Amino acid sequence: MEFLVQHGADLLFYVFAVGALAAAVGVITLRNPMYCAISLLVCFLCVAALFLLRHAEFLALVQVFVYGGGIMVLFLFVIMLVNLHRLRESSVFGEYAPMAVVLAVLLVALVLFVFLNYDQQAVAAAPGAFVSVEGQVVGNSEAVAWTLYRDYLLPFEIASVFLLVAMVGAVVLGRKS
Amino acid sequence: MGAIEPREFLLLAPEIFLAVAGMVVLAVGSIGRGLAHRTTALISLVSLAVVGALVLTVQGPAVGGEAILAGMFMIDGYALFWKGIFLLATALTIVLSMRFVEEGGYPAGEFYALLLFATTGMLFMASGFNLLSIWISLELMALSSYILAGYFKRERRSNEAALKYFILGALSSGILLYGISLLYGATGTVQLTELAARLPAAMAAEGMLVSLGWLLLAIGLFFKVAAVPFHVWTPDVYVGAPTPVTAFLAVGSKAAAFAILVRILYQGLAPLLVEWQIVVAAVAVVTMIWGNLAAVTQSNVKRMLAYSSIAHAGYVLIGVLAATEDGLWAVLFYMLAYSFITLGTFATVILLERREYAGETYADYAGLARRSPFLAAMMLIFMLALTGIPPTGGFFGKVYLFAAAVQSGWTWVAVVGVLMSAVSLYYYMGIVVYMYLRDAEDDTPTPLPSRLLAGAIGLCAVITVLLGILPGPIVELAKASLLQLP
Amino acid sequence: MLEVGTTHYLVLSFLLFAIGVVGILARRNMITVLMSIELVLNSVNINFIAFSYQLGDLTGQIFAIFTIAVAAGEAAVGLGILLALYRLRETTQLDGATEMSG
Repeated sequence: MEFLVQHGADLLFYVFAVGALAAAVGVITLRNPMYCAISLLVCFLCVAALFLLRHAEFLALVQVFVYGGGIMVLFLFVIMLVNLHRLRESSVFGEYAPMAVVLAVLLVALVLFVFLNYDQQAVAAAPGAFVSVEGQVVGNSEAVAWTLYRDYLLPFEIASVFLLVAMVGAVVLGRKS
Repeated sequence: MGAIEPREFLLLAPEIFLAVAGMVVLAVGSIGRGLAHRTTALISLVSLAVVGALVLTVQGPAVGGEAILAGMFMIDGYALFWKGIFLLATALTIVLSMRFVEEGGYPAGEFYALLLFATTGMLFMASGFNLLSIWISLELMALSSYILAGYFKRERRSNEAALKYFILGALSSGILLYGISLLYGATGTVQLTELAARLPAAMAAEGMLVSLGWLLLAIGLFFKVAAVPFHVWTPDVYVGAPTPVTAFLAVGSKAAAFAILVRILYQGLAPLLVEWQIVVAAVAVVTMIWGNLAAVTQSNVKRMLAYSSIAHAGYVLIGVLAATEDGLWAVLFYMLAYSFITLGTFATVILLERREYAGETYADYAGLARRSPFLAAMMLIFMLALTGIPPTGGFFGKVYLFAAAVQSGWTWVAVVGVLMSAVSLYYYMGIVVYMYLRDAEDDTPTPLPSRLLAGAIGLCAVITVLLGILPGPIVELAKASLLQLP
Repeated sequence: MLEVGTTHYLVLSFLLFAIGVVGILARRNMITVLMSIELVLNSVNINFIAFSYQLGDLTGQIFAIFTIAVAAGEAAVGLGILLALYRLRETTQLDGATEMSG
């Protein structure tokens, strides 16, 4: 019991990390696109839980709403719209699959080498930074909001034009002509 | 970082105006069904002119000022020079598109609006001074480009172009972003000057993390400028996309990608100069060799032009590599000359493309000198300029680039550039041989272009020749627009 | 080893990134390729959050918000292209969509 209290957060990390990885493997190996979509959803939710463990509460919420809600519904709509169950997939992977896997394994080996040499600290340098504005304790949402609308206002405005373009594009390309 | 003053938003007037103009075009396009083609094109052209004037009057006097909006947006001569190139490229693209979109029977409002939104993204890229604002503007431009590439959605090749462009574009922006995240982790900042200031310490503490980060970032950027070996998307996208869009991608997108590539390498990654010079040198050499050799083997003119644009990215990288003031203004001069030459070339291709995919094989150019002496003469000028033969802007552009490389000790790279230019003579002159020495299968005269399109081609040709005779003023302008080298 | 630090998050994020890249390059169905793109963008967010926590700096969280916005926009346009592909060819298989030699 004491062990659980002491290492609870660490154990949760392993649970959700393994969940995210398993779900991600499911996305790229399952044959039925509907199952792929469900796997993707599981992966998103696990990652949201990891965000919570790293004091990004607001972001965890956004992750659930936007990915789990918005993007997932978009995928499901399209899967049903194109009646994917009628389309027989001859084989899941294309001709480049072995090459891609070899490349990925090499890359993973290289990057793991870099990361394992990374001199990390186990604790946050300043956990208070995520919940405070100018020294006052508020909450993660408010702290994020202050930074977003004060320091990162310009990218925010550009992102609004970006989303407009996405909307126009989806309509232009998706509507029946 | 303090609060943002209203004055800082006034300085954004050109970008804001352009985004609003895009929305107006969108609205006009959906209201006026029949007249929309001409009206929306006209509104777009006028607003581009207004934006140009705004850039000069609002941002011009502020040149050399600080990075505004919490260090997000830099107004300097460098940004202004690129903005000029982008606005000219978009305006010419609109002129090239007018008949194309009308005959294709696709909605015009959205087409021009997307062009304007992409240009908005490019303007923000030129001024971007923070990896976050640079990246989001890059995404704005890229997303608009994906849609434009697939705009002729009833044509299989256009759809395929959009598909390939989208998948590889998204992959490359994922790689770019991963690189940014590692740089952020190692230094704790995404602002370019702070990044440069903190890199030496970060290099000492987390050398491998930094190296991996900037390498991934550079790979993402090489994807966007279509440098070998990250060019695989280019030929298919250039061939499949509607030809005016191809021209826009070959000029606008490429120029914008170079604008941020140079700014990030020179201002953000300045402490890593020695490291990135080696990588850029390798990529430049491979790009020039592969682009030119692959272009030789092509039988489709659009495909040949795609490989030629890859090769030209290699030449520009030589100037980037030099990392001197001479190299910098050579890049600016070359991109300006290249923009006019390439737009002129694609405009001529568009004219010949009247019938189903005509103008795409070399045979379609046979006897063009007899069928349309004007077009043949224009094409001759553009081909000479792409090869780099005087008296054209292409000649001086290459001379400046190669000279800058030689001066900073990269002679062998410049030698490869000269040799590969000689190779390029073969395929550019192939078209000239067909135009002037072969007889056409049918001798019907090619119908003369609309006055507007002919004017655009003529303008590009005149500027190309002028840059080859009197490069002085533009060189002075480029020299006045240099980046602050640390 | 049990003590979870930033390195653990980095390793997890890179594994997800690699899985996503393999999915983009290897899958033949366009819709799973789109899902793999989402995986890649998501993996970057883990990096940003982990670094943000370690540095005590909110920039990483802000960056992640923008990544999510971009992922949403790209999904919308990607699915639009997919619908256009389906209308043209009655398939969402990528090899059925290729006529130009890569």
